[in-house]
Amino acid sequence: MNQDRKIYFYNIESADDHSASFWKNTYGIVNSQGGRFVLDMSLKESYRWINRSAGKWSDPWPITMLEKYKMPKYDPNFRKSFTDITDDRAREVIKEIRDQDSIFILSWSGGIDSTLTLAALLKNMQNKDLKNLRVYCDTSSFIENPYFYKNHIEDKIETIDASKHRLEDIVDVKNKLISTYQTECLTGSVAWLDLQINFYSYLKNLSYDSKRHISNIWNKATTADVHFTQFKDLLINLYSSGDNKNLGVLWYDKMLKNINSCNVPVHSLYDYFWWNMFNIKLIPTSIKLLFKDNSKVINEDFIFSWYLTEDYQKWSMNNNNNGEKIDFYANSHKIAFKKYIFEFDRNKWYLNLKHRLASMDHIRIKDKSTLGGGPPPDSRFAIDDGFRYMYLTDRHTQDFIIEHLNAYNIDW
Amino acid sequence: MHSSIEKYYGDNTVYYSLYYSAMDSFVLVETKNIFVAEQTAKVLSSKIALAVIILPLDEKNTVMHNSTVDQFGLTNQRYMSKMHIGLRKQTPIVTFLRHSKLIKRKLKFNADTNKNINDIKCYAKFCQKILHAINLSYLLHKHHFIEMEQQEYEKLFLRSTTKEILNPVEEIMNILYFANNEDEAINNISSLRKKYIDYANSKAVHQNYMRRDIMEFLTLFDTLANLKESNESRS
Repeated sequence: MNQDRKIYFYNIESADDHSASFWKNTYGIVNSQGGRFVLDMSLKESYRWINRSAGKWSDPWPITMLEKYKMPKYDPNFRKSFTDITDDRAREVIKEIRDQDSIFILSWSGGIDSTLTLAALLKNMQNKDLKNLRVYCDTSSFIENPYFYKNHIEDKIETIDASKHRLEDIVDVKNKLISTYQTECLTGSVAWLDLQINFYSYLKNLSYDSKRHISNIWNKATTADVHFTQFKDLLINLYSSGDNKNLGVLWYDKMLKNINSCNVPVHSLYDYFWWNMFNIKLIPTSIKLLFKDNSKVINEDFIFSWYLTEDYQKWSMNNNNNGEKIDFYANSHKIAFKKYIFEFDRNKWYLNLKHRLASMDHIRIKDKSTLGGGPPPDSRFAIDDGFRYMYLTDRHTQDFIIEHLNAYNIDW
Repeated sequence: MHSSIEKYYGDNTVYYSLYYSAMDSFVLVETKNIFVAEQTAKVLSSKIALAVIILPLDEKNTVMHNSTVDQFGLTNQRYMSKMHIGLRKQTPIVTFLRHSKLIKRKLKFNADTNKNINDIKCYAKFCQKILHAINLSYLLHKHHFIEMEQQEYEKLFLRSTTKEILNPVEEIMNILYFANNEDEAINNISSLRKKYIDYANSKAVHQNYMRRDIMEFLTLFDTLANLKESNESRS
């Protein structure tokens, strides 16, 4: 195997006994500081990060990127509103329906991201366009947004029962899947929400002075008044592991080097978490849910990535700390999205109280027996630039991993 | 998890609360019945994702009341895995506190946020009252709803899947789930009341007895739910 082969996506995750055992054994073989850092980090959070920015960042193995994932250049003069961007995106879908008679399948969970997409389509579509729209959903989607289902979907749009049909059996070049997986990369992360809810427990182990300082500035964490470096001790604490405080220091320094060289404004603590998502987690977020599914569902020709546009990304880079993404509490997360939805459905409860939930379960593969033969999906390590899976069970892949981890140094 | 059944019930050792994790806020306290607490959280789930938290009722812990829920929060949710923001669902979870404590704290919300929280608290109290009323009144008059009782037996013991009629508790839960506010719910409950009177009137035999029994059921429900009074004050 060519050890210089490039990778689109990789995943260091102890997902089952075999993969956990593999990564544990690998830890015993890898001697480099960089390789051990990656493996240590993977125990805190699956390690699968890919830098999209101009900021400095190193990876253990050669990475390549599809054009659509590359980050647009920051434009401080970008002024297009969220509503205009969203309406334009809906018009793109409608144009393709009218020009090519394509069918679009929206995977609707009832959550904010897919509801915004559906609201935009329904707002901009004429009745004649609706015949080309399918809503892929199940009871869990109804549970998450019952008013929207009753008022706008039931008996109005053709639905596909997600509990009975697999996406890979439905999508193809004529029946495109509208994916909405990148939203959190535009608006900020679940890591922030977790921190916001459990803030005081994450202050444990900090010095008295540090605790006091961070507590005092905490309510400005989503404003431009306080730079994220003022929260340095907290950030290091978050990514430290047991007695290994150095892990948190290394991660903080790696992120700081990237942020300082990326030419995009990253100011508040909230921005720090947003950048983490927007830059290094966008590709994993786009692929991770489907990574263990049939390879057909990650075929780029079949997917219309709703939020993966230059406009949305430029909006995201220009709307930090102004209340468009969050006020402070989790119920105000993605507020620009919820305001758009409210303009369409007038549901004040959803506007004011809806918050992020685990709402993608209905599209995850439910039964691995449906994947056919081959090694189990949990043993998938990567997708290479030929769209081939690399398996942990494969000797060449094992050599590839160990060789690259051993050669990886702390270079930041 | 506790292995003793007593630990779960409102037997003066525990009480229940409805908790909104996104804003570390309590919405409601229920002191009597864990199942009504869960039903209330379920009908509210069309509007808000809540957890039912079983809280200790003893001298060591401060006790929260509906009038004081604003003052309380949790130290953290970190160790209650079901509460984790990445795993939470819209449906209510029922849980004990784990490695977390009820604390007095003051959160500063803006006026809009305060209004939103107050709106849902008011609706939650209304739902709680209605659910207590319907559970009790239906339990005491269940034997009058002959078809429903038969369907319940068919479903439970004959495993029939043809159940079509919702019982009064289910009907009320449906109304509370879909209503946008208290007024809308009261209107729909009025329609349901009429449906039950029609049900009695449709009986070919013993119509008078049936009408009397159904009226007793409705009167008890209205009394427990305090609905007549609110209807009168509205008119």
